[in-house]
Amino acid sequence: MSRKKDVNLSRRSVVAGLAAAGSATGLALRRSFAQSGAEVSYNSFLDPANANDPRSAAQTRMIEAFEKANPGIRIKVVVDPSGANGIRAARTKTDSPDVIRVANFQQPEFAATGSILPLDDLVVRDKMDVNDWLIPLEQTKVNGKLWGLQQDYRIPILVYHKSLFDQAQVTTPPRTYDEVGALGAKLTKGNNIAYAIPIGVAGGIGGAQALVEFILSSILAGNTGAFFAPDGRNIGFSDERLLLAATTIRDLFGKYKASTPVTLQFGINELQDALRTGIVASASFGLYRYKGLERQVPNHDLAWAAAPSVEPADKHTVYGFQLSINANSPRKDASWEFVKYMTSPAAQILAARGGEVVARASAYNDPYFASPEAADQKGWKELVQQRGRMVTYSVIQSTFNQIAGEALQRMILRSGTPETVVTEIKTRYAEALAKA
Amino acid sequence: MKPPNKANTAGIGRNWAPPVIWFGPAVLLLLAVTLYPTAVVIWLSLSRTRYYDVIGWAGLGNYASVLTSTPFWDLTFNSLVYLTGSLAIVLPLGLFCALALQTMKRGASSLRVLLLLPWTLSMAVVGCFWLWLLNPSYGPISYGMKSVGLTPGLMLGDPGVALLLLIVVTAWWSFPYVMVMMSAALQGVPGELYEAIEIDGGGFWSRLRHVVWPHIDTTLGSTALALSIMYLTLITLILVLTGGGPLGTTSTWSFEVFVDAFRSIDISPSAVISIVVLIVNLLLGLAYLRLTGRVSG
Repeated sequence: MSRKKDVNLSRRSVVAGLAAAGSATGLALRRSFAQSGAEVSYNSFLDPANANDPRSAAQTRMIEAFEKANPGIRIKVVVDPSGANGIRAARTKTDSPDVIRVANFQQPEFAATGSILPLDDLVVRDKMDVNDWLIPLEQTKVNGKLWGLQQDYRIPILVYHKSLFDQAQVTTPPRTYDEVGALGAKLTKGNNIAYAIPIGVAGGIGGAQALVEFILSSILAGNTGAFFAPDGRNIGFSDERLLLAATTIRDLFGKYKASTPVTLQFGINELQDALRTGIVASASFGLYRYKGLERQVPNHDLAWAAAPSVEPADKHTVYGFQLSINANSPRKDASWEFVKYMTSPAAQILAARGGEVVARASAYNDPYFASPEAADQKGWKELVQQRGRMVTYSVIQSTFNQIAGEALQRMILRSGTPETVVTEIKTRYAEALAKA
Repeated sequence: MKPPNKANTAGIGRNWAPPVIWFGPAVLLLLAVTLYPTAVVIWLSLSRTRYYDVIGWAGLGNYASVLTSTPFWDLTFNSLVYLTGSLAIVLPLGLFCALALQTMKRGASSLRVLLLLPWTLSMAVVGCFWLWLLNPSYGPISYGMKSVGLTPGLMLGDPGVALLLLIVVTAWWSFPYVMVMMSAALQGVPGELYEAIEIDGGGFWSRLRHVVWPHIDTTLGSTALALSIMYLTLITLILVLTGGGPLGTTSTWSFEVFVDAFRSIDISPSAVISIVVLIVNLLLGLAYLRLTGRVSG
């Protein structure tokens, strides 16, 4: 009897032991898979299926190179053209996508959700070169922490039609807003607009994205000031800068007629259409759309120069895209490997062939940058280095854009004053922030 | 007291089982996709939120805050003007087209297909098409206006006319729905009634008032209610045409909810407006059920 009981216990023990061993093996395998057989989902606005976009092709090449070097990790691209999926994932604290491509102007909002992993410790642990960047990594921090590694930079440029400038005998592109004003009398006629100021709500992320990105943020932050406080909440620019911006914009519409109220409807897409058709002779615009636009304009009529500023050679705000890791991701290690690779000089050389102004300084030593097709990128890179500065944006940046756009629209449409713009923007932003 | 009859109890059990088995999954699905989200929105409207997390209880404070704010009443004004303005165009236009098609002896089928075209297009396509037509710089409408000496102005960029133009575009897109419903209702009017009123010497208006109207009024009413619900929840057309601008003059309840759900950190005010839309739509839905009940008997 006693013997039988012992045998039974022994069987149980064996079964239990086997189950425990199985579980342990399963766990070990799972962990091992998490590291070596992981599928990392990558939220990007670049669609791998878009054969017309060289940036998409470059992204695909980078991913292929990464997968070749890391056979245990596969990358699944989640196409998110508007960025809505990324921010929704952060807000809802889901565990996917693992890696998100985040614009610098959205990073404070992402950081505020608590869904993005700070990378400072990982950068130190893996001894990453923090000096090999066009703009120091320190400037890309939000509230003292590094929430992503920079992939590329964007600085506003002046895009103009050479033939229209020639006809109006404009020999040098305008460097200041006063010089832009002088274009009004020469180039604004009938439907044609000398210099479009896009204050529309369409296009981009939130209303008046084009206005804030191309014009307003640079004037408000100035050469040394802040745009928003380090934590991304309170306004960092002074009333004087805001008054200056509102006065400049009012004068370009009213006094100089360089822009007309038609551009109050322009977002980024409408501005691009107007530049393509030649209705708009010039505008501050995004360099990331320049190549595509140039191909659409006949006779190589499009050219670019440094964007105008209040004083010649003033600084312009620069933003770009960072790769951030979802703090709720179960594949953080594999995600970090991917982020490290995508921002490495080797990957950045591939990205450069897609037309981006890549973030790594050493990537510009590649022979590609000696070729004629890289001439514009080199020029933009120098512009970023000489006149670019990164600023902190708001945790409710799209709301700020909307408020600023509406206040300036009201000033133009209802003959308001720059002082009312200052009051409206500050009051409404404070209200919005209080609710936030 | 008599003990329960086992056979009867088993019968009841058997009677209950099939409906539960057949309809249970459907009811569960319905609860999951309609009642559960509605309950969540009601819960959010009574809470303080941070992104999608509930961080505290606000009770009716959210309602008080939203319903007493000027922006809410601006949205209400826009929504109601948009709703009534669109209905004021589509109902007579749809009815007129249906009557015209009914009286046409030749080519009615082809014309009906042509008139149906706007309704078959997606709202995004309609929006892009009208965005081009109404472009103040190069749009055909502004070009036509200029060629006859009129100043087109800013069109959709003018706060004074943007809502009106949005109504016109919405009416252009949705009037075929009224036309189809009215055509169907007109099929039910007995031909003898037309003959009778003709014998009595009645003209167009008499025919309309005494013969047509009694046969179509309930259908017209239910069509109006169905469209009202749709207009109150419509977002795409506004998003493409104006983005709610200029100066918020084309922003409606639903559009604001859509925008704020992605933009705001505290989404409870959007939840409150959602509940307002829900209540208005429920009232319209009840009226619709009563009217369609009259139609179907």
